[in-house]
Amino acid sequence: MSNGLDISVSQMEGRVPVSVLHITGQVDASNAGDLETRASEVIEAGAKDVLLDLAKVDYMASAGFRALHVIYNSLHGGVPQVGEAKAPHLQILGASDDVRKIFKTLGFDAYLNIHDDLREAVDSF
Amino acid sequence: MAHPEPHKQILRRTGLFSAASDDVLAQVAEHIETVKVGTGETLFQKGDTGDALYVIFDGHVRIHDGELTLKRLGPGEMFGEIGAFSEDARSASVTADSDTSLLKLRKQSLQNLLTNRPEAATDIISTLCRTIGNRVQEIADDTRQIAALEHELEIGRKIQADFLPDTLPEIAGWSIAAHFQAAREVAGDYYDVFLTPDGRKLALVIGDVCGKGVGAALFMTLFRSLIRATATAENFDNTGRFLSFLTSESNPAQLAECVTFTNSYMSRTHGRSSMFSTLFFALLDPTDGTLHYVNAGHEAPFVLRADGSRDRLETTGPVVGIMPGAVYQCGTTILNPGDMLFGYTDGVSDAVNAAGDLFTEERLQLQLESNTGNVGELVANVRQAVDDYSQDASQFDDITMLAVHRN
Repeated sequence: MSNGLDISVSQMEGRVPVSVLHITGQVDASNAGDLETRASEVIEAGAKDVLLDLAKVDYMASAGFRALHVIYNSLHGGVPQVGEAKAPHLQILGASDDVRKIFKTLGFDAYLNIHDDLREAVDSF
Repeated sequence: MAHPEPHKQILRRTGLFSAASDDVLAQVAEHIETVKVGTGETLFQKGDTGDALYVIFDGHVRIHDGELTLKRLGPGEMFGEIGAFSEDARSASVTADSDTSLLKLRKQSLQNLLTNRPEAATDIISTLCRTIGNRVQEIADDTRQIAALEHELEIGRKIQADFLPDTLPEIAGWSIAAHFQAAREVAGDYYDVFLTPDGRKLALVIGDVCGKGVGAALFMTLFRSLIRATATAENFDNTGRFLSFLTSESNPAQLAECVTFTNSYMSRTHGRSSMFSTLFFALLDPTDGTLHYVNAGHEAPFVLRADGSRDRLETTGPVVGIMPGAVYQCGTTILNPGDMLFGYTDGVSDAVNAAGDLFTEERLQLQLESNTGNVGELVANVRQAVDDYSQDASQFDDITMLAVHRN
């Protein structure tokens, strides 16, 4: 299994500035830490709103979903509370059908929104 | 070319020239080149041909093999000496941690020195021998540390084995089989099979903590224990009467309560660790086959019906441990004579072959078609199919299966 994870960052403007992390590869236990580190660098550099572009992620293991929760906690200052509005500062873009299915199974769709369109995703912040 | 006195002092500190006469040192200093390397710049790569030795004049470098840092060196320390005296390729890469000034002595200059000033050779040879001796010592120390860590992991593995049932309950009219194989010494998967305190119902648990290794294993012990504790604990009700979450009259709400309590405790106490568990927790009444279950984000177990049809026990709530306030519904099905419940973790469906392709749920379903009602045989068949598929690829994830058949 490939352990390479390519993460590039771009900036977009919606109602607020949005940092977009474009992720390519398979996210698993061997590289989920790289995703956490990259997101943490972006957040430490001042990003308040983050969009994770998963369009080129063809597999995401549980360690990758853990990374999403870690990033959520960094951006919102705590764990997601059921019943609250879904993550206002973290949005997901373009998850494949397979990845989307795991989102649903794990119940991560209870606190994270998945978008299909980049512009719509950026404007959702 | 005149070289400043500090260069000579640094050279003398390396040992290679510690006892060299001023005369020899002056000759060496004449052949010294100063090299500057910027922060993050790589001086040479593992596999490059060695052409010189280096002494750090100012700054710091990192000796590394890919991402693995082997050693950090600072002013007065020497590296690359083996490559400078032999034909061997560089055994590691060197990258500057800060802006660094290096004194470089080329292979040719060293060879000239040894030819022209044989008296310098004694020091050089004795320093090289000491360097090699130190490396052997370092390797011995590392090996001892690795052995100690492996010993600790082995202790961890034994302790963790105590968190899994050593025997499965025997219930008349039912057969049960389980399979558990950790990808590493310790695992994030778990399963449990036990009778409720009144001995009248059978609790079935299968779960998977995110990630792998020690972190997942520590959390596995917590999740598994909280489920076992809530399912078997006796509590006081508001009139002071003893009761347990699960009683012989247990209803679906009580089953969900065990999971809700576990989620509440874990997400409020440890939620910031982001360590979650998928969990399938069911309570079987062996007298009539009624199965109440909570599926918290777990791969939907199969119910293989006697007539060859299949049902899936889909999720009734999210994963446990990271979302306070999550709501868990309870599902119900009946296991009739000839029906089998088959639960598994994603180590089965996500097993990979050498090409990196997944075993997939489709291949699992194909294997389930071989079901003849023998739980041990079915579990072994699935395991064999996963092994045949993976072949030489190392087991990437923990693999757990639990099968319960009504005879």
